[in-house]
Amino acid sequence: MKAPHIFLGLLAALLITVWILDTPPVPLAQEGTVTITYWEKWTGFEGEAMKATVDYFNDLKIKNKKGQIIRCEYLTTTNVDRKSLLAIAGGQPPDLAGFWSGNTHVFADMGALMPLDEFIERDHFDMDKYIDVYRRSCTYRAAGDTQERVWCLVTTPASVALHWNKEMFKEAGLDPEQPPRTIQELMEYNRKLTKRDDKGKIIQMGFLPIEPGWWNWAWGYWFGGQLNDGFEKLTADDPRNIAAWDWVVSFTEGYRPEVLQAFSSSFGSAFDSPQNAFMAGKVAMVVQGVWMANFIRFHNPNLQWGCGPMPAAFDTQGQPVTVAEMDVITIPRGCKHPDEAWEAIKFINSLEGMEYLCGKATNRLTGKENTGGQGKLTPFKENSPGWIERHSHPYLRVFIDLAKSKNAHYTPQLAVWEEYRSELDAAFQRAWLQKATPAEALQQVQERMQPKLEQALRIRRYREMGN
Amino acid sequence: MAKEDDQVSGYGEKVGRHTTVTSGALQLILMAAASLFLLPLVWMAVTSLKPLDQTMTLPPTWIPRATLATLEGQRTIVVKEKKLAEDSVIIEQLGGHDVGKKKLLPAMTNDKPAIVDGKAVVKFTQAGREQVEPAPVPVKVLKHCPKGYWHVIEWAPEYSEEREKSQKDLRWDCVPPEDISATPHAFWSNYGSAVNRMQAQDAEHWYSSGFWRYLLNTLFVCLMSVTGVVVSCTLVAYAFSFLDFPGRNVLFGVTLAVMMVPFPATMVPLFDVFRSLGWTGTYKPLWAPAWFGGAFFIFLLRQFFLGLPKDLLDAARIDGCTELEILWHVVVPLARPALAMVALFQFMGAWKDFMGPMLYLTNKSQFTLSVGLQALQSQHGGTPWHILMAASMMFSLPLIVLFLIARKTFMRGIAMTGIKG
Amino acid sequence: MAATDTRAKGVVFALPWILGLGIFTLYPFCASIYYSFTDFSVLQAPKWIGVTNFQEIAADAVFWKVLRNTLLYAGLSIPAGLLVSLTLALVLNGVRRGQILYSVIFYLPHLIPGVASAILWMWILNGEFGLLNSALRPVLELISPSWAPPVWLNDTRFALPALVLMGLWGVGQSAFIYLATLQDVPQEMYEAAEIDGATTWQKVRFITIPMISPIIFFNVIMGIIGAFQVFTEPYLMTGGGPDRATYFLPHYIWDHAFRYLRMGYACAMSWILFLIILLLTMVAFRLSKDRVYYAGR
Repeated sequence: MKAPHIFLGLLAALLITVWILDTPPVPLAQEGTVTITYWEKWTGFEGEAMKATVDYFNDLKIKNKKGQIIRCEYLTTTNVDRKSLLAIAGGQPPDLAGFWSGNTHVFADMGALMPLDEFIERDHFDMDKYIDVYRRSCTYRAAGDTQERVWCLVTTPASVALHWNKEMFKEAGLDPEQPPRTIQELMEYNRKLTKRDDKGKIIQMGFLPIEPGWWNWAWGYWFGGQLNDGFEKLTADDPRNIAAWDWVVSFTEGYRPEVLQAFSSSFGSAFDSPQNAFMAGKVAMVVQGVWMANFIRFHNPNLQWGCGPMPAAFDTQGQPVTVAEMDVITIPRGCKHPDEAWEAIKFINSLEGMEYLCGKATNRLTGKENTGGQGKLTPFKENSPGWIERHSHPYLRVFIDLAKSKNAHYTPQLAVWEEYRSELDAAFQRAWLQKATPAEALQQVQERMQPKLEQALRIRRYREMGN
Repeated sequence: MAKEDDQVSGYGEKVGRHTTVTSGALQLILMAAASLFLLPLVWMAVTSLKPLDQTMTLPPTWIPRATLATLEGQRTIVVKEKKLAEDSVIIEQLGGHDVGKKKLLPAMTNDKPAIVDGKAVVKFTQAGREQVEPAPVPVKVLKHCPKGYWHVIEWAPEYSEEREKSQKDLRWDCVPPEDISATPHAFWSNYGSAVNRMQAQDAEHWYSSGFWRYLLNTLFVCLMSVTGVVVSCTLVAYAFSFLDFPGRNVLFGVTLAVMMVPFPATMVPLFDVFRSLGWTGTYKPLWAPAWFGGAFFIFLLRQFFLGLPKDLLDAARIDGCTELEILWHVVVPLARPALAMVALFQFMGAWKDFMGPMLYLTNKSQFTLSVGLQALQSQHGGTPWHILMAASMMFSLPLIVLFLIARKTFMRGIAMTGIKG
Repeated sequence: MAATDTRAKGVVFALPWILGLGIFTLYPFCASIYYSFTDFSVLQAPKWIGVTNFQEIAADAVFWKVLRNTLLYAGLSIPAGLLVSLTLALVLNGVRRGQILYSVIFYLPHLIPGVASAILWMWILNGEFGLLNSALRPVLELISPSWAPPVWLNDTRFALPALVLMGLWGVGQSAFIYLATLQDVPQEMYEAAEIDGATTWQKVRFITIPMISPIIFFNVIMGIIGAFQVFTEPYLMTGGGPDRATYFLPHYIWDHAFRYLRMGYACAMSWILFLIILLLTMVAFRLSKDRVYYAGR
């Protein structure tokens, strides 16, 4: 009759043993080294390129002020941004955290990041080497602050351009080397490139604005529109934004919604697959980022393609329009080794580190070449001689020129940006599915989000008063 | 005692002519339903055995096929690179940067023959960039390939060391379309690729990081949390079912209610709790709470316990058994199927849990399989479908095996309890 | 003496849960009540703003749309899930041959990772080449040549039903629980009923259903809780679209908590969702009073 007691006793022993043994792993504490942690949200080729760059940094054995060698421990997994958020809130942040540029200004407002200005001044770190749009994207005047500060530096700079399929151009009797230069030409090309079968089903299209649909909120930029006027005023219903959406929605004219839906569902559902609309030759022209070359190389290396600026509907005076998005690296407030973290950022944002991260480059210690990095441009105005020529992207200059353009737009640094963008995306779907006119849809966004922005600012002031 | 009697259906029907018809109909319904349930899984298995170019094809194909062509006199599995759009020649370079290399050239460029006096203009790659030889180099023509031929390359598994090393040395040729054939072929190497993909490149030992390490970590968390949940929930559910104590009903109500709170609302304070306990960076947040019970399982077990015949318990009590002994000798044997079910569900939950390990573990060597699996696919890019499906199959397989084993215990449990007879 | 003894023992037996509930559940539970009356961005300390969040929710048109979607989803998926899982279990219990095999097959969907099943279902529901439409198209064309199957996840009217349909793929767990209980129903009861000349349907209606009613009740409650917390599938498969037709409350809460960094607002909405679920559960309890039969009582 003692069985249950013996059983429970054994269990208690097990529990206590495991409890004691289950402790956090101790980093190999070598004499004279200090370990910093870096959490990055990118997996895939960006993540691997960053891993290689961090390895390079570790090879250099850079020392801190105390003469200890800095070793960076790199952790990448999906959703790590959520982990970083909770860890920063919980006071146990990593020393370096990768974020999207769209939320760094919000994080800065909330005092979650360390400004980098002191380091920049101390080390005479050159901020003028950055292409304007990327530098501005890193600086922001946070809530309650009197001046602009640098809150992050760059890891994955990008810009977007029109990609076209040369074979499809040839087939439609168009010059494969000559992309459309105006919106009108684009429409005309689309007419020539669009094909239907005898049942009226679309087989291929010249241009489908919702493919890939990642910048639906940004169409106004190509019509000279803006999404905000300063930090306190949203301008979703700007007539130029409405004109842009009117133009985009005009692509649905002449089709029953089902016909277009059936066509777009024939791509399958994944961007990263051989069935991607552009790579499979279903859509001849798409707006895509600098990363597209990597995917083309992987899924359809024989594709004959070109890329150039997406034409705009207003006179750009030689300054083409693009969205210059990027991801960034930050030092969370409350981390253990900010000084050492800065050394890592400084290396990644040096010409040497950045070129190693973004393209084909050589490790000067081992003399070994990397596999081509993440295949992107650097955020710098100047690159090393020959770097662009060695780069795996055949049209890298197009993207560099786009990023340098005066009409390159970066993420609006609004307190409610994420929600604003979700609203714009939802409104776009409404307009595209013809459930509302673009004017109505954009007006709804304006009416919903302007008060939300004002409330956010009101609460911010209320907080400042309280402190 | 329930007999292992094939003659009796679950509703106590003796098999006669009438019931044979009914059970035939039931079998049909079940078969139809089962195939609906199985179809997606079969597709998953099929995809995990396909080469890249056959994944996600629309319309779908059900049999993985290998493309075969003759390379150096041997039928070899190849990848169709492209169909030649113009007459071409395969040459061997006798000079220039790539001496001895085999290359494919168009036979005519700008209406002029590409090879003049045994020399041709060729391209070469230096430092990742394609360049043209400054002057024509001597070449030897190996083969003439008319338009319509296929350029084929020997197939090699993705994410394998051989592939990384030999990408440039893979054999290739141009063959007439009639030389190419397809044959059903299962690409088992996808599984190896998936394991390799998870393996950290700088891992010192096979067990220090990567797939096998993740597997061990996952097993540890699963076993600890299953043990904890079974023990604690049995005790608690017993209290809720058979012991009257002050506040029991209120406590039970709260137990139900806590399941109704949407999880984002409690994620932040819960993180706070684990941090103040000093548990972040250890596995404790993943297994220790299980030792304090779980609302779902307490509720489930209580419902089972309430269905047990109360006379048995009363009889034991009259015999002078303590509550612990009643639990051990009467309730646990009777409720074995329910306990097996709790263990099974908890195991599966812990196995598949992604959010917990992602939030609380801080070192790559601590990760579990679900985190490894998730890392295989990223926002844009990452891993092709066939590798992801192969990884998913490996992820699911232990659960399927476990389910089969548990299912058996479960049936035996019923036969032993004597409830039925 | 026995009564006090049992009482003390009850507390001892329930002690792990009393502790666990207090530490791991009740504290977070209460903290989130507090947050719902604050402006809380996760990164800054919460700041008391009274009922402002609730006022904002009342005027939030998207919230009401999302709530309507959630109720619709629950209203469709709870009864459908109950019906399908109970039917499967009853049919399964009626056969002897292949029972193990079938129950494994029905349970299989629970054994594959969520990412994989989301991809599988996006492929099944694909409007052009998906498996479902490949089967439907010939049937519809037979009825009328102009009929075409819907494009499911891309159609505002069909996206939500498509998710309900996908949810039915996961009824294996509750069917499995039913089956385990069905096998505990004493055979003599059926034999006795047979002597009285009962039909199969009568046996199911008057013996089986009452005997397994505690578990039906359990599954209904879990069904309510599950349906109102549906998150992963719409999050991965539709992102809430098209035109927010599959935007459900847990997803809306998630977006506010972790994308818009408005944890206070998210908690306020969580508590509204909680109250809805609680209310429905209490209704279920009330209704079950006379209908659930506990052998032990």
